[in-house]
Amino acid sequence: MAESNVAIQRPQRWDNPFGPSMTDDDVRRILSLEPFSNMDRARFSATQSLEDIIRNDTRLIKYGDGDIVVRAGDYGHSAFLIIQGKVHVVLPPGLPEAMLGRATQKRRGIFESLNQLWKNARYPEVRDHERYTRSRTATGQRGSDLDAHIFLQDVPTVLDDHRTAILKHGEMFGEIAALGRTQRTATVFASGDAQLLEIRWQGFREIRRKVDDFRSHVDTLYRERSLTTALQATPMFEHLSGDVIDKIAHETLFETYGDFDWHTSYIRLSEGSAQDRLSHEPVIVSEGDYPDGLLLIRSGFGRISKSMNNGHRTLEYIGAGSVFGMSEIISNWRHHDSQPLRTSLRALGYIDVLRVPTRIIEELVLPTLSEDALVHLGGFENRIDDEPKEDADLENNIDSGLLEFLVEHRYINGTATMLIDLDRCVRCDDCVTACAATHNNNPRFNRHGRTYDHYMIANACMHCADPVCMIGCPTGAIHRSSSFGQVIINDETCIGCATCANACPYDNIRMVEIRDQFGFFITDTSKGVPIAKATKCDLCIDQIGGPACQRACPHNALRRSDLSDIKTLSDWLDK
Amino acid sequence: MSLFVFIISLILIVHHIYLISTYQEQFLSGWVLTSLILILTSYGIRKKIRMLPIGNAATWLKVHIYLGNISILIFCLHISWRIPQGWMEVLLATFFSLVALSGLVGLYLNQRLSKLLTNRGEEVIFERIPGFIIQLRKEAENQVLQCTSVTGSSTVSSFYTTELISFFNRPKNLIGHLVGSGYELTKIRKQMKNIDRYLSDQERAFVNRLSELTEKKDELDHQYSLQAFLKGWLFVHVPFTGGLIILVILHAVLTHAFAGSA
Repeated sequence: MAESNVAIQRPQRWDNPFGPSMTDDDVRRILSLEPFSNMDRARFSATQSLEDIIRNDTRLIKYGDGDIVVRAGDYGHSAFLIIQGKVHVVLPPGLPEAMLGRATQKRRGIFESLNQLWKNARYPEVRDHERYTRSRTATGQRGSDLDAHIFLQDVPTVLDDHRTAILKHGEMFGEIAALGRTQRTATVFASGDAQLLEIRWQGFREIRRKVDDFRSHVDTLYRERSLTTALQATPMFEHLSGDVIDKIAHETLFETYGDFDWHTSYIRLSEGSAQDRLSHEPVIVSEGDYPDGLLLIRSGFGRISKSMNNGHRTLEYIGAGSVFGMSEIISNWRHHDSQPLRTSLRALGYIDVLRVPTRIIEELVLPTLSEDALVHLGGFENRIDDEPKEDADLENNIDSGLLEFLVEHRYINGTATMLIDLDRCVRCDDCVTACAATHNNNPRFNRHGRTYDHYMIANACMHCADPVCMIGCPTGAIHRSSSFGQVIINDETCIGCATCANACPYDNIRMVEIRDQFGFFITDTSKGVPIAKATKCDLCIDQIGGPACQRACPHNALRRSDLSDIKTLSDWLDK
Repeated sequence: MSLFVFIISLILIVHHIYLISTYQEQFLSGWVLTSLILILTSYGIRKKIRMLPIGNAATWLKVHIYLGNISILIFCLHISWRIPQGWMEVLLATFFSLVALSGLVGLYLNQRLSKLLTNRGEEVIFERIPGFIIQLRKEAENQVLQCTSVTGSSTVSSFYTTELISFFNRPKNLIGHLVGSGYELTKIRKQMKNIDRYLSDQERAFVNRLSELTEKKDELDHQYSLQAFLKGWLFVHVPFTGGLIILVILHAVLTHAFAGSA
């Protein structure tokens, strides 16, 4: 045991630059290009100069002809600037899933399902290795590990069969995904040799904050491409005409709070005190503030809390699609009052918020809503003149400790979290056996995990709303299924780099060494080392009955829960 | 063609059973009971066919429990509430009773032990418990060896050899944990308290660590015991069900063969 504390240099923001191989010449060359050459460098601080941002928050990547730069549906955390060459943006309907290195899922039939009773492998992680060579028809792979690129084998045919737009030297793409960590809306691939500058979100946000023209450019893009659609998808606006939506969009502010890298810090924070955790959660609006706008959550999570003695009690957590502040706005509009907010909203990790000014809501939205809609949207008891409901957790009968536990460990991110009621579970492992039976004798989860009271969150992929595991996969092997949005791994395009396994904050992705049908390891032809693949729960996407674990539990002790749906969760807990 | 033959055979069998049942009610109750036993057995088959959407195992288990209880009643009606006579009937009744009783015991254990497991100790996977016990034993032995080498005294090592070695060797006090008795741990605590008066401060530190390891081992024993009983009752219920089905078939063949003489 050490006799005294070990002293190290305090970790700094740029200890791990985005592109470790950026040279001084590279930085100089990039600074001489637009839009950086037009930026007023005096607006940046001495400790975070534009030069520092370029050096540490960007990287230069070379692409060959047909190399896929981003895929539609991937989760972005960076934007791209074309330094040299050009790229094609594939217009809707986009490239087929198989061409993007994704699995084309087909459900098994009854006989194929029954076949698993006797055809499952005798050894762990058995694969048909010929499948890997057969599958590389439309796409190929260049490079290895993190430098790997999937490329389109036959670019001319792709161009013949699909509509594309061309972006050239000096143009930028991917800004919206970098701002809000949303899904990429289109696939982009290189046309001929190209060099791109990838700017990670930290640097991108910094530049946006400091440079007015840049901010105005990005904000305009956001309003044009994303905001109107987002507003139209909000239930309370869906009946409004296009003109009204445009007016609302024009007045709407968009704000991002917190840190995209929440998954690296929350574990450390969860070990600290409640006050410490709260102090790290950026406050979006505070209890007692005047409700100056309706907050629409675009992505990420927020904690609604109420002050209690020296701390804050969590009442509810909210995610994408939720609205905050509506009951106060309705109440004030109805009674010509100016009552303040009764609760606070904080960012859990990061949160992307649209703030529609109260004035706009009062003028354009509230007069168009029926009495019933107002009662429903405002969360009033029965009539609009009632007091708004309070203490959502009490209403839902969820123990406040359990609620804090789910928030603290960020389990709220899960859309199919494996929740086990240990008071009902008889530890028969029927769930594990069922999982193995439906995955070639390889269980894809571990019946173990953190517990609160008599509830366990097992180590099974939660199919997160914010899937950080999907960020950085060099081949796009880990992706969302186009059918029900499950996060799945295409075994054929997974190169075993472990980026996803390292990124998963819940340790729910396992790297395995694969074998042939005789139990021998399948090895790499050049180095002779076993080939690794990432594996995890796929929510039985190819099985006709859905998740086998849940169906196999004889005591109703296991449930795959969407933790954003507190009502359903509460009903199950009450059972 | 085969389906047609099957349906005709089924109609003939049912008709035959009906005719016999009109003058011997045991045949009716016997066949109802046989059907129930077959339905109850199908739960085991459902558990094997995990990949097909043929209903949740939880629903199947509920039905299994209800029908199981009904089958006990029908069994009593079938034997006319009397003790069976003749070796075949006795054997059949014994198997049925063992299956029914183990099922009821299993039901009770499932409801009671799962809560007890949650209430004490860390959640541990059953198959990993022996490994954890070995780890604890190694650490305990390490403490004892260190104590001997540091203090030069054999008091703690003698105490370990006489009182603790068997405790750390394998899961202990299985029945005690099942019935909620902490006798084994209380005994060890008492012995540690007794030896405490003969220890130096240095030795006491080692014994305190041994005491912590003892508590951890007892928690593992608790988990092992309850999980073993949760799994164990199935070793009676399932094999005897197999035997019961064979005996039921034999019984049906014999009773129908000799039905005319009744």
